[in-house]
Amino acid sequence: MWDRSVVHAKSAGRFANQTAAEAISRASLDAGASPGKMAAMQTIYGSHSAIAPFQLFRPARIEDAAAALADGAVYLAGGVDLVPALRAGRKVERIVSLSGIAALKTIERRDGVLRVGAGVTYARLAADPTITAALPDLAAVWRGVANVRVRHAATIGGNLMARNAQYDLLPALLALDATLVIARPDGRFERVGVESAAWPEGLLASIEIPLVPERRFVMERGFKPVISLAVSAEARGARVAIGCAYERALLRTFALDGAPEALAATFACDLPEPKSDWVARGAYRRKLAQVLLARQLRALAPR
Amino acid sequence: MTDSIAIALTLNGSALRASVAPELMLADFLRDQCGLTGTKIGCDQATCGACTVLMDGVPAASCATFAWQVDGAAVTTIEGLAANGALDPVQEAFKAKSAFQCGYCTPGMILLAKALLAANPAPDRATIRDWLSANVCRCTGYQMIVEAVEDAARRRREAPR
Repeated sequence: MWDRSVVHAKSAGRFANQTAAEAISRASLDAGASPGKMAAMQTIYGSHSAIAPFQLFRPARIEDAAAALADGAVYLAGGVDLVPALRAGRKVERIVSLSGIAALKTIERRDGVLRVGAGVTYARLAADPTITAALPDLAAVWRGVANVRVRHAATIGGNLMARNAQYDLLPALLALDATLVIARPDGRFERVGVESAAWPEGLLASIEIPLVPERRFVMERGFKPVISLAVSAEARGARVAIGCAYERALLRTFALDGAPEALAATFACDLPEPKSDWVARGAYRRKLAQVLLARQLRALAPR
Repeated sequence: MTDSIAIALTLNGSALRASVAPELMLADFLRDQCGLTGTKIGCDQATCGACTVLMDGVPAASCATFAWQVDGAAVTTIEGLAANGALDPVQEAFKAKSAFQCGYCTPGMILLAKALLAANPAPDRATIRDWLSANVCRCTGYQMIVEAVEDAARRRREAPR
């Protein structure tokens, strides 16, 4: 059925890429088809694959956006993750646009903590003067994430809450020991370490990153989607987060009490088995973790 | 919650008011409701950049931007570049360097270059390549496009507008 829909879509469509998206939405219809869903999906605008009609809510306050979650709404910030999912046939009844909430876009440094609003774009994370002064290493890494068009639209909150194992912010924040500030539907704000496996339900309002003197941060993103590696190092020790290799980014901490090569070998040996998929086998990911960590620890060593 | 949304924007320098459905995409709004078919739809997944327009001077994928998201913004499409019949320096440069083959990516490329030169009037080659990596030329004519952006930067410096 999948193959037939692809062939059918290709012969009927104008552009190959567009028809692929159509084929996906058709396939997902086949998988869970109901007459109501079918009717909704057949609303096609212009030359596009269908985006089913939805209701839109554009609040100006964090609390109102958080309360809307009770209605089963989905948040839209830059749309980098959500819009392609809608194109691929994801059906959403209500969308809450976050772009009108000014309080999500603030950046401040106070009491040794950098607080970055969840609605801050990649472009600002890479270039905002407060961030480049407080965490120049993070800003430098983020100058290389995505392309200029995405950097101006995508938000750090979206990167995190998309919960995509290949995205870069979760490994970075694990290495930097960040805390999430989440607005709960009942109006309270709750803090949770980014490490926690269970983030409370609600709207991510901001991210707090502790500013540790002498802490350096580097991230290897050149081997994605095989693996990514975020490393922060200071006198006391290192925090290393691995992306792409597990269902969720994995954090390890250890003391910097040996040569980079020896530390990296022990680190890789103690890792749980990384996933094997069409990209790479687990053994290769483990080997890369060792090689890349040794390289990064050498780069971070005091000169 | 709303079924239809009133928006007010500046489109290629002119004020415009419209009523749009929440799920209407900016690319469709521009092409079907405004008749501005210079904005091209390529991949329809915000990947190829053919549908790039400028929102307040910043490049955006109009195939992944809802029409209501440009409420209050100034939108520039390829139709908005030529002034009084005279091509923009970026357009002149693309013409002079033959920086298009099939031409389908050209509107997006030109708008991307326009935003780049507004942000950085004298970009080096690495910066040009970094910016252009947002858009795909399926004819693979990248070398001429890079040269055209360099030429456009020269033209802008010599005859600023």
